[in-house]
Amino acid sequence: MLKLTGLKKNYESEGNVVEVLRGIDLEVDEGQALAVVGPSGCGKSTLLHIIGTLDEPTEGQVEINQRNPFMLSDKELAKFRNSVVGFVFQDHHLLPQLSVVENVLMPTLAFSSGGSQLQRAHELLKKVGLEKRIQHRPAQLSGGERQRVAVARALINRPSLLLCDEPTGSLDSKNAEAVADVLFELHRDQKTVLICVTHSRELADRFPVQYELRDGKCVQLQ
Amino acid sequence: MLKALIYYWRTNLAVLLGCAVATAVLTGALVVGDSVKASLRSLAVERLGDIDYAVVAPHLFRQALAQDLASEPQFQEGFEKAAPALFLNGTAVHAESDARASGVNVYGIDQSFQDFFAADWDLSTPQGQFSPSIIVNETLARELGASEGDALLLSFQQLSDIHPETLLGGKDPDDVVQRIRLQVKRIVPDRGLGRFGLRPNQNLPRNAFVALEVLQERLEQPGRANALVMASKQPVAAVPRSASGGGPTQDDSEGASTDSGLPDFTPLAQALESAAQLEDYALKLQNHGSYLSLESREFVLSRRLSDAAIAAAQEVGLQVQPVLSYLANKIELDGRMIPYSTVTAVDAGHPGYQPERGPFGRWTTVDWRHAKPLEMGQIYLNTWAADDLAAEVGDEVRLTYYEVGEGDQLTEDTITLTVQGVLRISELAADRNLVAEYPGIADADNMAEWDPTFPVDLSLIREEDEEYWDRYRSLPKAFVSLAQGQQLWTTRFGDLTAVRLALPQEEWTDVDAAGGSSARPGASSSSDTSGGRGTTPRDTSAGQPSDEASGADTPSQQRYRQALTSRLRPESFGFNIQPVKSTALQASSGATDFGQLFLGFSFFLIISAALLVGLLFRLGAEQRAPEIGTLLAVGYTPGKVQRRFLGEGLIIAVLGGALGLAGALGYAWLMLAGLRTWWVEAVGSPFLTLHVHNLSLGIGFAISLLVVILSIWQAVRRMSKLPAPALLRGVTSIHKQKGPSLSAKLTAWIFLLLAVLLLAGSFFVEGMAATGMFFGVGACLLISGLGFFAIWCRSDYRTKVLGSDGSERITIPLALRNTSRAPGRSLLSASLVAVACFMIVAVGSFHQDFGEEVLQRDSGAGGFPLLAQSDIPIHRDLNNEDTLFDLGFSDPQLDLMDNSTVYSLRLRPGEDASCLNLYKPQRPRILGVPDSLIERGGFSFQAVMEDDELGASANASSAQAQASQPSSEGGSGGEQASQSSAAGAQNGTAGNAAPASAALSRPASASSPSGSLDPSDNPWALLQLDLGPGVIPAFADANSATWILKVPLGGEIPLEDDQGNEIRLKIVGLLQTSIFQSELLISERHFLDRFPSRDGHQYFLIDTPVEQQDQVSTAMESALAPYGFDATTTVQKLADYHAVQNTYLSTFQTLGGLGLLLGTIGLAVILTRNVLERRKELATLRAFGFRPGFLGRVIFNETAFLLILGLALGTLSALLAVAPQAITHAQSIPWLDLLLTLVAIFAVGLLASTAALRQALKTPLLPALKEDR
Repeated sequence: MLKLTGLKKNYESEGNVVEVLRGIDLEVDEGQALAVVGPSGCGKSTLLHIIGTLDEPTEGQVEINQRNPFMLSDKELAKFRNSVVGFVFQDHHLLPQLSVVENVLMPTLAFSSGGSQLQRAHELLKKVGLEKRIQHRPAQLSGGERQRVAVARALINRPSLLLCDEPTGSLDSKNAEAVADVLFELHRDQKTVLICVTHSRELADRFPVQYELRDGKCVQLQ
Repeated sequence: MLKALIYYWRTNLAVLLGCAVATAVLTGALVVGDSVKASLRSLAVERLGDIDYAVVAPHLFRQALAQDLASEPQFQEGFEKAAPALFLNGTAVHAESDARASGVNVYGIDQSFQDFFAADWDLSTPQGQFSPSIIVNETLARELGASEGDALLLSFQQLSDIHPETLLGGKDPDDVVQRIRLQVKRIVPDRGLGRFGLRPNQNLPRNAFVALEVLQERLEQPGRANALVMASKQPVAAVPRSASGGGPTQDDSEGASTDSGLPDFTPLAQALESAAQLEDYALKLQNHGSYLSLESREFVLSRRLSDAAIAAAQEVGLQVQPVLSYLANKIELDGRMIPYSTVTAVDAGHPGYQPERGPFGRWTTVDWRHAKPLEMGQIYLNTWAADDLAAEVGDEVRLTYYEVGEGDQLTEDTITLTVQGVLRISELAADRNLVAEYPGIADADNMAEWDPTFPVDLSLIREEDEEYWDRYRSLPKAFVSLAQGQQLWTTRFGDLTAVRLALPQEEWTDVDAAGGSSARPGASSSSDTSGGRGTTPRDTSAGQPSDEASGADTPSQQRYRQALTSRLRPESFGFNIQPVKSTALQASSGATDFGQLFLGFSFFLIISAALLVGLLFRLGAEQRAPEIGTLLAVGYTPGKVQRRFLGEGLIIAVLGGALGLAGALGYAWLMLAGLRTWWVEAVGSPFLTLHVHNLSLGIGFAISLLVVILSIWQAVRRMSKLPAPALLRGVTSIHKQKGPSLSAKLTAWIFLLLAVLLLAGSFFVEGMAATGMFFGVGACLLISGLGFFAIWCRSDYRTKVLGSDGSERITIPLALRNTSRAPGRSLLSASLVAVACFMIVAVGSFHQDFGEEVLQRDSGAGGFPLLAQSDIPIHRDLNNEDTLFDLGFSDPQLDLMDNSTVYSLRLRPGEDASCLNLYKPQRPRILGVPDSLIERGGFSFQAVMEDDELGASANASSAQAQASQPSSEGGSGGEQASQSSAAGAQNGTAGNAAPASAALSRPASASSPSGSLDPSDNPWALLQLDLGPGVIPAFADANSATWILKVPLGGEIPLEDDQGNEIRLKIVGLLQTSIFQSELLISERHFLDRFPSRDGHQYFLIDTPVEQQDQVSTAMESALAPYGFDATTTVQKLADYHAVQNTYLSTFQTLGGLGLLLGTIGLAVILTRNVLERRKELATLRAFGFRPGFLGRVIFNETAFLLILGLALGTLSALLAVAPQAITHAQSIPWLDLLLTLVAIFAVGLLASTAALRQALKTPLLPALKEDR
């Protein structure tokens, strides 16, 4: 489903080239869940952003469903991202002015889907345990609840690729666990590929496959 | 603190600039006000030179009076110099180009006058120059296109001793208009003497200066003047404050002053009274041997004068014989007729035997009996007349005479009198001094050569009449009793032609020896021994000052002269001393306080600046939220944090304020530059210069500082109340409750209620109160509207953003929802736009243009397409075809005039009471409205006085007058207090006002054709009311009354009449947006009562079909050119007035535009800030597939929504605020202009927002996502 070949990413900083990713090769099958761990600044998020097509690699190839998304036009790429990729960030980035359900539905509004996703939004919210708070605003929710909303939002368009960037990073252990539960439950239900970058050992341990990003290389942990 | 200031320099610089703008606008407005006042003062001082006082008399007096006055001890104590002059109004025409300038001030001056300006102009005529010299100022030269050496034709009023409206007064153009050809010797700048003028006005005058003796010669009035100017030793006012803005200077009189603030010039009045001689009052006291005769050069003695003359005679013990001589056009009996005879009304005769002839001579009948006194209905004929008519005692003769009617028209009237006897032409009946020398008659060798001022039919004159003329000249052919004569021939000018005073017998002289030329009365009797055909030469020395004090005065004559002089008050003869300098300086405070005006209209701009400062500072503080949190965490109290930030704010505010002071000077300079150029129509002439007062700078700085600090404090206070942990996380606001706060709800509803109440109240108030209501309604609506927006932002209301039909449709609802993300900022953005929009729309809706709607009878022009003014009064009926023909109208022009009606109004010159005059009028122009116009009615009234108000005021006036003037000199016959109660209506137009319930006190004059008018039908009838002694009903234009004269309906304006009596013009009606904005209107009857010296008509309303208005205008201007007749369309007149208003509005719209600029800056700042703060959010949306274009549109729509909201709120508030004015006054709102303005505002706002948005969206989004680390 996902294949990374010789992926490199350099950044220029004050005239110096910083090699963040130094040739990553990775293959992920459908329905697989994996975690990428590593210290802060090792390039975990960069890797995730490239997989999510938010950032382009300096070198190497990304294939998702046998397609190189970076060959697409901007519009096609946006649509691709909208339909194929789902994101959960450390900071939920919910829109404070919208209600819970509206936030969940937000990705559906980027492109016409030809029908209402409200029912699905309700279902997802029910699955994340927020069916009674659908009309609340983010400010009225706890941190864990907000992140669960973000998870529901990420899955609203039935993405085949769910990318999570430190999804429990700003949560206490109880909430972190609850969010992780939701993630895995939905991963199973939706049969999505789940890739999670985290430095949380507890969360990483729940994934059957773990990689460590070290010196720009991705190494599978036993 | 300093480090923080430097570290956050970008934010602080923005705040500082905001403070600078607030200070600049506020202080600049004050500086503009100061500059206008100081410029007006400078102008007042400049155009008057050293002249502190002036007298402009309605008649001519001795030029030497100036010298006599200057030699009076009282004068020398406090005054420095005096100079005579001739002040005339006229028209100048360039001899070659025919370019014409009306409204020219013609000054006949000598060097003594020039000394008041330290000028040394040579007005002499060089040898070899055919025409006398004239000096003109630049304005007049420019208008005429004249250069030095060019010839000008100057027309001006012929000043005559005889009032033109008396029988003997000249009315024809040749009698009234004097012309002179002059050569321009020099063109002087419009400064100093070149700008001289007694009336305060900032507009450039058209001044022409001619040598005094040249004008005197042309007027045939050698040695006479009509004006005196004087300077006091102590300046009545100091030089106005300097432009450099130094310390304050002394504004007020250094001498004693009256309660009114004007200097006390009693010593000057006393000196003038002491210096004035009888000739200065146009009086002649002649010794005729056995009696003295007091006559006037005006031919008629006023009631006041004759009373004084008789009282003086009683004081010195002299017997009095009042005389009234008149001209009879015909004396007829049984088909026989004597044309053009003089008849004298005198009480003579003796009931019994009269042994002595007495000083005045006796009447002796043809049968040598002594004639008895006459009674009403009786007449004596002299022997010549009786013979000619074959009249006998008991016959009834018909006496036909002229009566001077309305409009100066002469009509003939006839009375039948019974012949009581026939008098021998001896003694009194042979005294030619009974009749004054009529102009055009006295010097004629025979009657056929008469050229009198009244029409005569010379074909009626027979040979016998010529013989009589040869022998007796104008000797009366008939006598009636004084009462009879006064009943027939009394006019508003008086009821006697002479007062005779018997000299004691021991003082009788042979007049020939005393310098006269008459025989003693006894001698005249001896000349009539042939049965009435003797000769009786007139005792006179025409043109000689035989009436003045001389060594030849007999003791009684001297005593009488003194007694009479002491009873005459110069002011009673129009010698009203005007403290022109003090008045001008007082008036220079201005009819309009420009400081307040600019402050008022800058208010919203200042508020915008303060809001912007608060916003910028708040954004800066929010940026430093973690810093505040840290400070709180380490033990700072919220108060200490507030003080720390306030300290920073204070430094920024002080620096910004200081910068703002410099900006204020620039702002004021720009405004004044605008008022000198683009907006010059608002002030008339480019005279404004920058004057800076430290006090204003201080006030402006202090107020700005206060406003800014309050604004900053508000921002800091809110932040420091947040919990430290939240602040540490960068949280800048916490909504503790769901939904809007109670205070927001209360604010919205209370202000809405207040707005509704004020709006309703606005329909019932006028003037300043209405203006207050306008601002009140506007402010309340804005606050309420913004309150509702705040409620909306925090309410559970949900705009449907769950579009299922595609993303494109959700941008707008999403944008709407986004505005509630930071309600405070959205509110502020909308406020800034709304305030600016309110200002621009409200001001714009007052813009007015005029079209043919003014031709409606109930409009501001009363349905008159044309109005005209003349420099020289016209005494002829312009509706009479024969008159027009006489005046030179051609046949085609006469045809044009056939279907035109001209209403002629009298004019008492004065100061312009409209917005065209920046000075506060002290003596406004007054128009005398003829009965014909009163009957016609028309025009639109904003308000007229109600029954009860008028009844009460009439009673109050009456009581007040009775209490204060027990023996009022000013009251005329028709001015007794009455139980008047008048009708009126609010907001009525002539002809449809509400019905009246009370009867009115009608004019006493039975001849008034409009005596039966009812004000409930026609408000103009209010002008005919008698409101008690000294109180005269008047109309004023509502705008002028409110803004310039500052007098409400029912208020009174004190003035002096021709006799120096104080009168009060009571405003009984306010005309709406009328052509009468420059003057006050009173009835012609009241006008003539109070200003009898004013003659003719100078203001004309012309009713003519619109399609021929141009031809009529041209025809009248052409035919009446000698009078300086200048016609204009009423549309143009109204447009001229409204050009001022519209220009002011443009000025204030510019201020509104500045407010919009601030609003736009605020909007852009908020937008940028919002985008930056939402970078992560936007990045997330991008991650979900939203394209940048979509996000841009959402943000764009968000901005557009705030812009539209502000526009809608501002526009709606403005329109509702002006609605009462627009509805009440049927004022049209320039919708198209407003729409275009709104579109422009919207476009500007969007452009600015788009620029900010583009800049904000350029920021890469990916790093935002990584900021999670």
